[in-house]
Amino acid sequence: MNTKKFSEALGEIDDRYINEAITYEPQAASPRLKRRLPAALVAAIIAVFLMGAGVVAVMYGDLWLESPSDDPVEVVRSALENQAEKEYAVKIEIERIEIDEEETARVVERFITGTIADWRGWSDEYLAEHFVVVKALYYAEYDHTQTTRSDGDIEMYFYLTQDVNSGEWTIVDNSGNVNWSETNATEVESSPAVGSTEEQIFSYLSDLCNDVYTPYYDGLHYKISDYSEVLDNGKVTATFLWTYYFLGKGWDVETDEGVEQEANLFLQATAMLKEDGSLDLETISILADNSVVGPPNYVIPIENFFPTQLAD
Amino acid sequence: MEDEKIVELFFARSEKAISELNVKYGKLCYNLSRNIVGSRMDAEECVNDAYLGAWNAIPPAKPNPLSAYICKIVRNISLKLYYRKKAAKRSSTYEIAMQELEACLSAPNTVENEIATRELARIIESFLDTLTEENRFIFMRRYWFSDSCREIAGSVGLTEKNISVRLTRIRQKMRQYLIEREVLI
Repeated sequence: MNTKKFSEALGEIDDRYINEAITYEPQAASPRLKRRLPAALVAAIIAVFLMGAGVVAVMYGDLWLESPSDDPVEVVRSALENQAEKEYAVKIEIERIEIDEEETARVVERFITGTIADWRGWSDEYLAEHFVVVKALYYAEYDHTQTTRSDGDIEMYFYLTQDVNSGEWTIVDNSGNVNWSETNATEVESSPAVGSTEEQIFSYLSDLCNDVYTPYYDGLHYKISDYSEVLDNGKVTATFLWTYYFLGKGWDVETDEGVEQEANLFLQATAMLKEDGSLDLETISILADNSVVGPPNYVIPIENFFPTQLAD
Repeated sequence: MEDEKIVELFFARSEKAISELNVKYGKLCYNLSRNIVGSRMDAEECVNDAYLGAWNAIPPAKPNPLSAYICKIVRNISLKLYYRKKAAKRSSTYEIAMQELEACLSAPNTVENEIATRELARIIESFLDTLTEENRFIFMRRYWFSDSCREIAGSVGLTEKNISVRLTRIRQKMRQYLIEREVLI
C-alpha cells in the first residue's frame, strides 16, 4: 500500500477522531510528578539497566533460570517453571503471562529513555522492538525457613531485552513480588472516612510510594515518627520523619540482597482542610528539609530530588 | 464564539462567519496546512480556499463539530496542492510523517487495489479504537495533522524521544492490525 492511499483513507475517518485530537486535554503534569521515584531508588533501578543485557537477573540472590526463546512470554514461563523446582518453592501455579504494552511504554519513557538509552546506545528503534515488559500472575507458596518471598497471588513484571542477531529474549530484571490482595487492602485503607490528619498524610504518602515502588521492590512498608502539626486558617502544616523500608536487591552491596533497607526523609506537608476535616489532596505540598545542621529548612519540593530523566 | 453561533452566521450569509471561524480555528487550520505544504504563503492560500469552500457549502451543510469539518477541508485542499508540487518539494512535515509510515505499510503483496478507501478508513477507525486516548491523540496529531514530534511532545508533556518511541510502537501495532485484517499480506 502506498502512503497516498493510506492518507486518503485517513482523510475519510469519522469527525470524532479529528475532534478528539483537537480538543484532547492531556493528563495534568502534577499527577505524573507524583509517580516519580526518590533518587536513591531511581539510582538503583538505573543501575540494573546499566549493568548490561548479558547480566542474569536475580531475585533475593537466586537466578532466574530461563530457557532461550524468541517468545518473551515463553522465556518468563520457563523462568517461573524452573523456580518451581527450587527447594524453597512449595507451589508455583501460573495463572497468566502476557506482554504488558502499557507498562513497557511506561518503563521506556520514565526510566530508560534519556540517560540509560544514551549510555547503552539503545536507539528508539531498538527500544521499540527489542525491549519488553512481561507481566506474570501466579500463585506461590514458599518455605519460609529458606526464603523471605511472599506467599499468595503474585503479580510480577519481568524486563526483557532481545538479542538482535539470535532473536532470543533475556530477562534483565524483574519487579518485586506484589501480593495484590495486600495491595487492594491498602487501597481500601487509603480512603479512610476521615481519620486524623497524620493518618491521612500517612495514607497519601503510602499510596504515592506504593504506586511507584511496587513494580520494583519487595517488602515495602512505611513509618511516620516525630510527628507534629499546626492548624492555621484551615491550613494544616505537619512535620515528620518519613521512613520507608524495602528489601535490598544487592546492586550496590551484595550482602544487602533480600535484607531490609531503610531510608529516611524529614518532610513538611501542607494542605488545606475541607469542611469535613479531610485533607484537600489537590492542595497538598510536600517539602523536604535541606538543612545539614541547625533548625530544619523545608524548602525543596520533593519532586526536585528526582532525576531529570524521569521528567515527563 | 460557540460553533453553533458561527454556523448560524454562515446560514445568515454574514461575512462575520468567516472572521469568527478564523478567530477560533485559524491557527489550527494554518498550522495543519503549513505542515502539509511546507510554506507559509501556500498555507495561507489553502486556508483561504478552505474558508471559501466552507462558505459555499454552509448551508446546506450544517457541520457538527465545525472544527473537524473545516480541518478536513483544509487538509484536502492542502494535500491537493502538496501532490501538485510533490516533484519539486519533499521537505514538509507531512512528507516526513508519510515516510515514517512507508515501512509500516509496505508489503510484498497487497490488496490495496481491492480495498476501497472508505473501507480502509473504517479499518483505520477500528484500529484507532484499540489505542488509548493519549496514543490516539499522538497518532492523529502526527499522521492527520502532520504535527512534528516536538509539537506533540509539548502538547502531552512528554519528551520528543518519548513521542518517537510511542509512534514506532503504534506503527508496529498498526502494521500487525492491517496484516491480521489482510489489508497487508
